[in-house]
Amino acid sequence: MGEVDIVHLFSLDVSDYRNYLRTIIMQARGCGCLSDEGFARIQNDMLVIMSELADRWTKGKSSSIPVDKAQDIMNSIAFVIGLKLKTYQTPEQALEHLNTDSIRTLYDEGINIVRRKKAYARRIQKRIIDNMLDTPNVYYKLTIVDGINGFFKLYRPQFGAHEIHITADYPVYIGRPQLDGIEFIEQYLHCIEAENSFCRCFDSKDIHNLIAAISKDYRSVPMNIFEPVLLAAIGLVILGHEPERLNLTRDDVNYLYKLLIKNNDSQIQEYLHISCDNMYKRIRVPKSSRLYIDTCIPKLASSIRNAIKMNTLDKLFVVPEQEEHQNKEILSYGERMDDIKYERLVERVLQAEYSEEKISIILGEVHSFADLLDILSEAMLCEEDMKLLVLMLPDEVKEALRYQYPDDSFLDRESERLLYNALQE
Amino acid sequence: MFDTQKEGMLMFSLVTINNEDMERRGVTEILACNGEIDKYGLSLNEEQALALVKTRTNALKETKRVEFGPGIIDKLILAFEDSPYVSQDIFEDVLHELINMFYDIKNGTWEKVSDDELIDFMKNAFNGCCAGSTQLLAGEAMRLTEHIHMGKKLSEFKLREN
Repeated sequence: MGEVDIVHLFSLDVSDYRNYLRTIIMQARGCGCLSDEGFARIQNDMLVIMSELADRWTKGKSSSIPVDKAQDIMNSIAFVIGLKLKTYQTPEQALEHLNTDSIRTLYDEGINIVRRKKAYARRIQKRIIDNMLDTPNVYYKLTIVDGINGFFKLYRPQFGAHEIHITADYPVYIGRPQLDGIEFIEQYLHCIEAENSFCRCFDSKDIHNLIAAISKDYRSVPMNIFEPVLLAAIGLVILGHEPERLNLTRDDVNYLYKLLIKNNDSQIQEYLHISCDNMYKRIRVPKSSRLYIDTCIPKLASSIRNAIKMNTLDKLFVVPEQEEHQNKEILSYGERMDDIKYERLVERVLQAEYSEEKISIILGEVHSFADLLDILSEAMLCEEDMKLLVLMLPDEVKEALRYQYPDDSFLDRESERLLYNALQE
Repeated sequence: MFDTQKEGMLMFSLVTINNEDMERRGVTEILACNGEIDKYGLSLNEEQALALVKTRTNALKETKRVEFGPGIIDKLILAFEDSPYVSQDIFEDVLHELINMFYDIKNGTWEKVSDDELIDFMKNAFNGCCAGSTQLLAGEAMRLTEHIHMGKKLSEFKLREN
């Protein structure tokens, strides 16, 4: 027996999904499924809720509020009711409940959904933080830890359930979720977790070598880490190599070009699906990451197709940096100190009075390049401190720092400028 | 037939707040004050009450604010009923000015001052250093907003001395 083809009264696209309540009401009004009385009831009930929330917002101390704030509260109420309506299987069922249930009930149940989603998002964030990639990219850590913490601190579902508050600078491969409020954060964290879990299948040093080949200063560039890692792994699998080291060569990329040039978009997608299945036989990729990768394949295929046309496939399938360019001897990349130890170290350096004392603490305690970069940025070293530190550093580390800061084009912070100048002397 | 696009835009807009209903309730609340202000030789008729409510509506529009509940007109009436600078012939005019000023100060003080605190401030200034001048009161209100913008509390604000 074939599947029943349900004829829907409404057709919703992604942007409609973002303003679910409004879209349902507009479409229902358009097809006569929501009467004038029904519409007025919804509006009035929402105004009653808004009036109560406005009173709570002013802590009962003001009878009036700015229109902007009132509109924000109204949008928040619409978002919360929309969340509840999204739990019904079809827009038609949602409309039925909108017509029959009390708006207050829909709102209260929507608020419960927001609370559950918020708690769930916290759990995802914790899982990600427990399994962070060891990368010097500041946007990665700043967004996942500080940014998301900032969201939880500022998020008040009663007055701004639809707000995001943060810029969410670290870009996920699939693109910024086209959602609002807690739905955005939940989806964003899902993407990061899936990307993170995949990248954790590889050695952080190999990832570093790969990303450093794209931008020497990737530490301070808001770039996605997952894409080059995934493509390098897929590229190696296509060529029948082991993907673990992410070590494509220039010849490999040339060969990939010859292999893929004859394929159209859908053939490349097919290629990618097969390659991913083969990759999963060699690497234990978590199921959530596999599902996420599936959703990324159309975008990957399109990028590959464009890169072939523009003859820039080497920008997608990246050849990692050569070993001789890396800071490998004196400071490792992977042995970062834990956060508490690091914070104590920063405190000690900040409290030290003389340059010699500060530098002695840094040289004695820091054993990883990532920690060195962090402390150089956070310890508020003055010009004299920076000059002394550079003087005392082993040549290999100085070389690695010069490699990290090849020119002064993107030096936003004072600490970076001081370090760059000290390295030039 | 309705315009669904336009309706969608207005659906959750504050335009939907029923002004007529609010105004009717406002008039009733003002007229209810007559029993109290009568002992000071003051009274407001229905026409005056409606005019005051209209002033409130315009003031809210101009200051881009929206009001819920009973509002502040009756509170202003009861706060200024015993002012030595108010008499029946100017009572309504003073109230129009106070209503306009109230929402301006409310915006200027960034929601840091409650309705009751603001009415207290206006009353003390009007009866004190401003000697019944709403122009001087506007000047004091300006000083108050600057004071608040400097991160200070209302309780730390001192009215100009006479």
